[in-house]
Amino acid sequence: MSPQKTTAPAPPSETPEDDAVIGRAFRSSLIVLLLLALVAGGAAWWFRPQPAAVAKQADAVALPSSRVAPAVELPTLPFTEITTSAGITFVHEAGAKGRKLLPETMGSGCAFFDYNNDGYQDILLVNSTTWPWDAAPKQAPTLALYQNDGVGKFADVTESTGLSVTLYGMGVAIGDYDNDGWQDVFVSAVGRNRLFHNDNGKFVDVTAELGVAGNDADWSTGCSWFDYDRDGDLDLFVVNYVQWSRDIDLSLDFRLVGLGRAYGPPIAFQGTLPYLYRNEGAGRFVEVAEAAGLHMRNPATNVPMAKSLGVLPCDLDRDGWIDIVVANDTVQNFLFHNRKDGAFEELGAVSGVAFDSAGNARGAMGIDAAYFRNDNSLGIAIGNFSNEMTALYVTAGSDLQFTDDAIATGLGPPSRLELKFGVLFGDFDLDGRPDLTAANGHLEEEINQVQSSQHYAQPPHFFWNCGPQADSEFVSLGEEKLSADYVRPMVGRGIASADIDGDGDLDLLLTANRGAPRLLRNDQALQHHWIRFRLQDSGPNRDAIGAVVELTAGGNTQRQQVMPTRGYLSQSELALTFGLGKVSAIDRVEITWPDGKSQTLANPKVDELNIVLRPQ
Amino acid sequence: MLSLMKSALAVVILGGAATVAAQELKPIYPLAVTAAKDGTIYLADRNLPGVWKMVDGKPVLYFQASKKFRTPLNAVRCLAIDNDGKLLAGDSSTREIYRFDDAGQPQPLTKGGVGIPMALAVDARGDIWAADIEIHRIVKIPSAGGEAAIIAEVPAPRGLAFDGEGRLWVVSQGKDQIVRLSADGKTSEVIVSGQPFSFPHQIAFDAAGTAYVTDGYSKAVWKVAPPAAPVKLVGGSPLDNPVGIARNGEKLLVIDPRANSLFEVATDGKLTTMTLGPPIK
Repeated sequence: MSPQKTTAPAPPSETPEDDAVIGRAFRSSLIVLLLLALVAGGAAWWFRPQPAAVAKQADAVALPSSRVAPAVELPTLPFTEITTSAGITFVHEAGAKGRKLLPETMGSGCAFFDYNNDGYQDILLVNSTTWPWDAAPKQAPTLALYQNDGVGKFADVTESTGLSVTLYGMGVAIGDYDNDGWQDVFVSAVGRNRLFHNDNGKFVDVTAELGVAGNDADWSTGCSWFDYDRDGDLDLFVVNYVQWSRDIDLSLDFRLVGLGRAYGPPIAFQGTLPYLYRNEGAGRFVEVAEAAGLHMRNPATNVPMAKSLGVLPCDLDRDGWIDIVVANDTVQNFLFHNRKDGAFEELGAVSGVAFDSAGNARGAMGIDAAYFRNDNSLGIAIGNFSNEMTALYVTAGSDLQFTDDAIATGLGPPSRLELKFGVLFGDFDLDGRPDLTAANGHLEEEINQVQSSQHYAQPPHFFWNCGPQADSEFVSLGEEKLSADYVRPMVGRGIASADIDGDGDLDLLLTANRGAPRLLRNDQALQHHWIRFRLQDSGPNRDAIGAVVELTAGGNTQRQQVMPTRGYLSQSELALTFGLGKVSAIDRVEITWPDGKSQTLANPKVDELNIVLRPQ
Repeated sequence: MLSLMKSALAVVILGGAATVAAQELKPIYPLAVTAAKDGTIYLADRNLPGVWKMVDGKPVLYFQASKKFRTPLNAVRCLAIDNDGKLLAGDSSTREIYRFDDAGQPQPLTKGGVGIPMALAVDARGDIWAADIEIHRIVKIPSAGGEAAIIAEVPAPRGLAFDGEGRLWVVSQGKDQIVRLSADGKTSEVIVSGQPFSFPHQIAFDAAGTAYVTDGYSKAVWKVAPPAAPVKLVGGSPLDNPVGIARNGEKLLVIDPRANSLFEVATDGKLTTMTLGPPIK
């Protein structure tokens, strides 16, 4: 018989194989249990509490009692007034005889430029004049041109150069519009504007020939030469302030309580339209402002909106095309974005530069811009009316989105009181960070009688750039760090900078309404290194206006654009000044020429002016 | 037939207009002058722009440049005659030195290798020297043309002339207003310091080897005979802004763009005026 029987099977436990089955099961279970134990152990090890983390958490609870910011040592920056000793005898004449006509208080600009190609920065001071309905003075006020001897001494060459010209001048724009190697002079005015061609050190009025006078009824202010259409030559942009005439001004009868007749606010005058003269490249200009999208009109009434003073041509989004920001007085500021097709799109409101943080238009006067944090943060500074802070519209990238960081950077509160006109960035202590200066002064000579906080003459501002890590990015320097010469109150209007004596640091020129200008020599002795660049393009935009220089040294990258139109109605020198602080070696200098061509500069010389010719 | 008559009339009218226009064309802003050995005089007109040739005492258009920027001689500002009697012209618009060929057309010599050529001079070998005020250098270009080589650094150089010993006199707007370079350009010496000139332009030698310098702001021509201090040979009206100067035989030629006149000046200071067109007001 086979063991297989038909008997009912016994329960497994009772079978002979049960022990073996149980044994296998036990071993399998044991293996599984061991595996599970290993997994659990591994997991327990993996997720074990981290003693270090506990320690960190404990540390985090102990918060610092105060924020640790880099130690900031304010520099000593003595500026010495050398106006008279340097030979500048100019006095601004505005024709003020008590009628309180608005142009009499808006001042005029100045320019540093090299009119005779000797390599030194000469000075042009724009003058206004007496009114034609008043008795003519014995000697008519004129423009004034002073030739620099290279060490900061100036000779009056107004008569010799043919610039002994009388007009009610306001702003000035310098540019070699005809590519002959000699810088020409455009002067905006109440009435017809003037263009003077520089014929080898002699100026010839070519206004009528070139058709850039505007109209007799215009009041032109900010003006600038730049190549908006990238055809290679310099075009001319001119803004106008308000529709003004003596009769309109007198009929509006502005009064200040206790003072009587006063200078009227621009809000009472009608707005204007600008001019954009496109250079046709053959001694001819065509006015194209409307076609270029620069005519801003109130959409409801169709009347012109602009009441413009400051002009800032700047490639805001770094696309290689120059955009324009226009500072308007009591009207929203404009941002004209270059569409690259010969026209602009106005984006002031959507970009955030049109108003203050409360949505109000301010009394905007002068304007300038700089990459003040040595990164991609472009700051646009606008000098505003008294009791309005200087604006600092900042964009962190190239998306044309700005926020007013005046308060956050420490610039706003100390700038609030004074009535600002020209604002100007510059690295005056050569530490590698651009500082901000401003020319201030009220409109009303007797303002202190009705507003105790205000004075006709006001001290110029100097905001030292402490760097983005400091408690306050901008700190106002006073007399103890500057000089009595710097902070002495004046009726400031225009402002410009240049190295007038070849020592590498930036000197300042401020114009005064109905007074003498102030030439301030920078006598800093901080032993900081520096480097300067003067670009010479091979195309018709000979002075490379619009070119960008990026310099990397000591871990910082600075960026500057060649643009003389800065401040208020004024022009600064074409050369770019980079402070290097204690760093004496440069890692990299890259130039982007106006047509977009890039050039890496080999072996630039520190503590020298480097003249860079564009490679063929 | 009627249309043919109309066309003919139009041609007559247009031809007449062209004749009138040609007759009315006059120098506008002549600022450089040179004279060939045969006495032929050329004038550079910055604002025409172009070059005039004096024929029977009157300016005749020799070359009219385009008003379009960056075209040859759009900003002509200096002239010279080379050793073969060919006319040379410097142009800051195209950054070029040109030699006029037999057809009267300007041929470039440097492929845009200079900046703002203010003055030209030709040495005994025929090489061309230029004062480049853009880079404040004196450069030399081979006679046949080629790359401009930097020879010397001079602040704001404006005028050039070789003396009888082959040394180059350079007018500068720097502290030293005339410096003299050796024939090879390697050494220099100061001839005039102290800035007696207000706005010196160009320089020329007379037959006796004495130098003369035009001074725009002083409205004068200076005689420079070191070691004596410079003295004014002529000054004041009718000179308004003398710029160009060249030797022509025993006399000097002076061109004044604001007076729009060509002056013949004897070494005793006697001055003869040749009005070219309406002066600048």
